[in-house]
Amino acid sequence: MNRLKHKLEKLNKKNKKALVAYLVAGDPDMESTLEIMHMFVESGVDIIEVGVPFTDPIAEGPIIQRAHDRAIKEKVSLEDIFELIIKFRSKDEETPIVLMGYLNSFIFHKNLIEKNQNNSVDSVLVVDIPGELNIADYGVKNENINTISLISPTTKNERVKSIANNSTGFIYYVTLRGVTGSSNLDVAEIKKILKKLKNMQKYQYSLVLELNLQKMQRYSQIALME
Amino acid sequence: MSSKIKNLPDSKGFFGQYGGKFVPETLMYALEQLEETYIKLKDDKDFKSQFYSDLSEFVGRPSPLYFAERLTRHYGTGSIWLKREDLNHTGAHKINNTIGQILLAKHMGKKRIIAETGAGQHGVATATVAARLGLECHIYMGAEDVQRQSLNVYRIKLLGAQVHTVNSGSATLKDALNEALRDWVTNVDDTYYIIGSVTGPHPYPMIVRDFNSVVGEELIKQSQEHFKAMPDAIVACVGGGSNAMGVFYPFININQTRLIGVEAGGEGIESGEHAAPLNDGEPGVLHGALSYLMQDDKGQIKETKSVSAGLDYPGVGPEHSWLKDSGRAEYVAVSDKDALRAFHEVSEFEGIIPALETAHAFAHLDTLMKDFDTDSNIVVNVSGRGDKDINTVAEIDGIKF
Repeated sequence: MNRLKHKLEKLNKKNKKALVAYLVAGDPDMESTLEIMHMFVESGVDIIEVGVPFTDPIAEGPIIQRAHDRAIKEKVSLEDIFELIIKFRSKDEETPIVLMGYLNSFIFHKNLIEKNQNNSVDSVLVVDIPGELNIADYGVKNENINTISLISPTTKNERVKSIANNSTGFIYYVTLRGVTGSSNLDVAEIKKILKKLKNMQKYQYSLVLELNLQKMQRYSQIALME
Repeated sequence: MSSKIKNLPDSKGFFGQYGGKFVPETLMYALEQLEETYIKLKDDKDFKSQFYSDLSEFVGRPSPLYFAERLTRHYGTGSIWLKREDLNHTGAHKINNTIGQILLAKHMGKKRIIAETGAGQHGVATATVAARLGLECHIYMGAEDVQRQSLNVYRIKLLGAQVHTVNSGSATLKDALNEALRDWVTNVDDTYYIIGSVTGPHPYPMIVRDFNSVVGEELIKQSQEHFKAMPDAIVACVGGGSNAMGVFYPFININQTRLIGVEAGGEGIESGEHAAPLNDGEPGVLHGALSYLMQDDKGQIKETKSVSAGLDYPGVGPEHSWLKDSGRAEYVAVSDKDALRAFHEVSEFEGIIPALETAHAFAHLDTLMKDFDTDSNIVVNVSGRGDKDINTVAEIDGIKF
């Protein structure tokens, strides 16, 4: 069974929320990335999102942009990232890994995704494709890798349903209008949308919220919402 | 085949395999809203009459089709005609598109306008139409371009817009686009993004092409008036490709007219230091569309090189990729050196100082004119005037003011 599905079901049974942590592969170098990934797990992270560095990360704010830039200086490719994850798997067979990046990297390295050596990667999240589509629509096919779609505060009701149907991992809710690290989080709006998504529970999808570490206080408000 | 070519993009925004809508989910609604508004308005009588009246009263259209007598004599083959987009208000074809898009923005009730710019012409054209409607305007421009196009930076400021210098990446047009997209993701509710070329996610390549097609439509009429035939060839420079697309599009079904796009060859195609994705790139996704793209062996976008800020871009509009693959248009590249030579030649032969972008199209006449006899008519789309490039060229020529 796919590690991601397994993990989410397990947590769900215990009525627990998943902690998902993100880093950019190769920032500042691959050895450190591997170390941080193991450290994440030791510190209680349930799912790891590995950012695939790209020259033009249009959805990122300055902090993550700089992480992408540093990794690109290290000449990190998706091939290197697969090697990294295979190394990670030699010590950790359980923690789900989601690759998060931009479409060009995935279609350029189509064969790597299709092969997914040793089934190391569990899921792919592409930032720059519409929620109702996934990488298979662009010719990158691997049934063992599930795809994660995004819903944002501007997504209209009609599309929420088709996006939810399309997402085979979890639904990633972008909590704000803006790039990663923006400050315009609207707690009231999130409440409303969470309610809406919960009403769609027949879809049986887990929901993950994008949050960033600068504003812990406001996140505690969200965590209390259930 | 050609009528099929003309009816693109399809409903999902594709020209063959190229184009599409590759954006973060946050922007999907804004793009749908824009498409809906545009489809509703584009054939609306009042909207059209407002658009054409602005083009005539404010821009000064139609732009003349001018016979380049000395240049024609210089080559001694076909007649060379110049479509004078350089005579438009603000000095380039860019204003045609911004006049149209600001009407869409107004109709959608957007209060804030953003745009990216390379050479600064689109920034000036956007700041101009925003000033005219009293809308808040922000222009993103790469740090390198801010320096080499300082005149346009000041013009944009004079027009009351704010210039945001972009330092990330190669600090040129591609990075300005990244930053403008980031602004849009953040302020999507009240902001209209005026993209300046036939690039970006659907429906932009279609909208920008349609508004700028006024150039090709006029050229069909003017060709009849001046030489009672359709041109044998149209030559236009291609960065993102909006001036070329605007003049090519009405000719897509006129098969006797060769359509020739000229990309920036920088230090030469073989050097790899250029901005010519149609000549030396492969399909990939950047800034919301699938199109030919300059990328390295890891799928990262390559930094480009061109003396012309307006052509210094690693991608190209998806419709050009489609026109290339379908064979309807031809794409060549011209080096910095040849473009600079043409810049001087055209100034001295015709009394017209062309933009460095346009100089690329002129430079290709050296090769192209050999294909034609004296009965032929060749049109060069003079996309813009060269005032903005005086500092760059003077510096290359070792002149200090």
